[in-house]
Amino acid sequence: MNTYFSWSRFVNLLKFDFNLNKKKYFLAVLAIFVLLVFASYLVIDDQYKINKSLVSYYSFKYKLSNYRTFCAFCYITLAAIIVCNAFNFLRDKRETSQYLVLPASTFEKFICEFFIRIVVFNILFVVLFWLSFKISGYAFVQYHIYNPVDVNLYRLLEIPNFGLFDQFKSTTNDLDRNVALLALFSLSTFMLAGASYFNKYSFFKTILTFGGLLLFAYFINLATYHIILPNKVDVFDIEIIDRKISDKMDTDQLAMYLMGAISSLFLLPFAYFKLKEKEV
Amino acid sequence: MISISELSYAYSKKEVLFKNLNFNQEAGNIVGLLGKNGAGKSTLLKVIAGLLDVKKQSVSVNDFIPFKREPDFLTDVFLVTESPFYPSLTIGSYTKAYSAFYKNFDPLKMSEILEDFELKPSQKLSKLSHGQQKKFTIAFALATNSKLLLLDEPTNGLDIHSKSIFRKVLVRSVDGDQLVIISTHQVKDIESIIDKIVILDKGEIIFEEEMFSIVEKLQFKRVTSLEEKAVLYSEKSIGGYDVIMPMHNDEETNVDIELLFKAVLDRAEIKL
Repeated sequence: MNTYFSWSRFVNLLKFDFNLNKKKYFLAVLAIFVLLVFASYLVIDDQYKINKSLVSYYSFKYKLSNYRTFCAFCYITLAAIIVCNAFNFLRDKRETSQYLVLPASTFEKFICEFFIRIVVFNILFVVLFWLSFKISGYAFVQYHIYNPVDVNLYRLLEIPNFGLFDQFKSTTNDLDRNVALLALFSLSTFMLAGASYFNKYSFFKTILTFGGLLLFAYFINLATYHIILPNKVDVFDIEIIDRKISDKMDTDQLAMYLMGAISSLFLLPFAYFKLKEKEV
Repeated sequence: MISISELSYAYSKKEVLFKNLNFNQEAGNIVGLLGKNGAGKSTLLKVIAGLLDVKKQSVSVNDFIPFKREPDFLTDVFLVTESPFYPSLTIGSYTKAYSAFYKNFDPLKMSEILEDFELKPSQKLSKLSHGQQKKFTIAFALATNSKLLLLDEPTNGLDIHSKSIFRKVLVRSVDGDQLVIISTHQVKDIESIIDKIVILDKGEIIFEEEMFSIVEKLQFKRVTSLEEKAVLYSEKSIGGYDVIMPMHNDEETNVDIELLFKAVLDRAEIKL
């Protein structure tokens, strides 16, 4: 039998997890959907009010760029909640004992959580977000048809027919889009690592750690600038120096790309080994 | 089956639990691991089950290093902790989901034991009493047919009737190629079923003997006075004294584990 991965054991593990948590998962999906419907409605309504205050006679057309920003915000918020609470069995000592001695490899247990909390969540999020936005958009238009402020206004309301994957369409260049997606993936892996590392209050501790690391990076930068390039820093205000690497890329851009895209390569093994070293 | 040599383990620098502990057990036995609260029984079971990292020390169970938690190792070891986790599922559905991981799981054995314990597959685990939950876990543990069963305080929460059924079911269900280690401080509960006694005190094994050896070499009696008797240990009781004496007249007596346990903990000179 394979020590690290066996397909049948992995399927058993998924079934086991689903049997234990199906109610929790169903309620989570339902809550996310309801939340997204309400949030989408509020965002559309908000945008409508802004447009209305700007021009007296207007055509309200919801833009794809608004849709994308809102989508990214929702994704990060929900991913933080869902992924930071991965490895749920680590929150309770009795459950931890039982799960650690469950006859499956640590790798299978890790992949199972990765699959549910990242792969399944991402797929569900894309579908739920698109569906909730459609429903909210439809409800918004219907509301204004039956409750017109101005009889002619409803004709001018327009929610474009966004496709399922429209939020992934590139606005500038493909590299930026790909790096942004990889950065979001890295953020998810950071949360997964936090969930594996912290036993209790993993959500708050992971968020605090993330903030702490950002602050740490900032202060390290600040100190380095004060030592090496004191003329480029004004107490706390750093003047980032960047150089052109090519026509399309600067050094600071490259640094952000590397950090955003590659950090998952370190974070995933970190999460795995933290799980492997768990004791009760 | 279990080979632990020179094990040292500490929760912190100040709190040393085991120092050079040796513990070796073979299949075909039901071992009573006895000791007061905090003696290190549960910790020892956790080390054997792979829940604690003892770094590079010599611990081998079924030729595996427990803390590596390899699936082939885990499928042949079942640990019943003092308070296991019970999800909100029925006995039937939990058994179906959980048993898939144990290659030797016997569903027929499971239903027989459940019947003995008066439990039904339709009952919800989370709504069972503590004792009933314990009975379910014991039933499941026995049905896995794991080579090594580690039972940590299995009789805690069981009523007198259930304790008696537990003993019967355990003796009936265990084969010669299995090793059962029962850790308890309620020594009376297991005195009729164990083959071997191991007494742990302050992280040290202070007594380890086969039951037949104890029966052959010691006598457990109640006497009215202690005069002219070679008593190894005595304790005042109603109408006299409960005593442990060396064997004479080849008269075998029932082993009073509780008395033996107290004698060993009081460091009485009991050499077999």
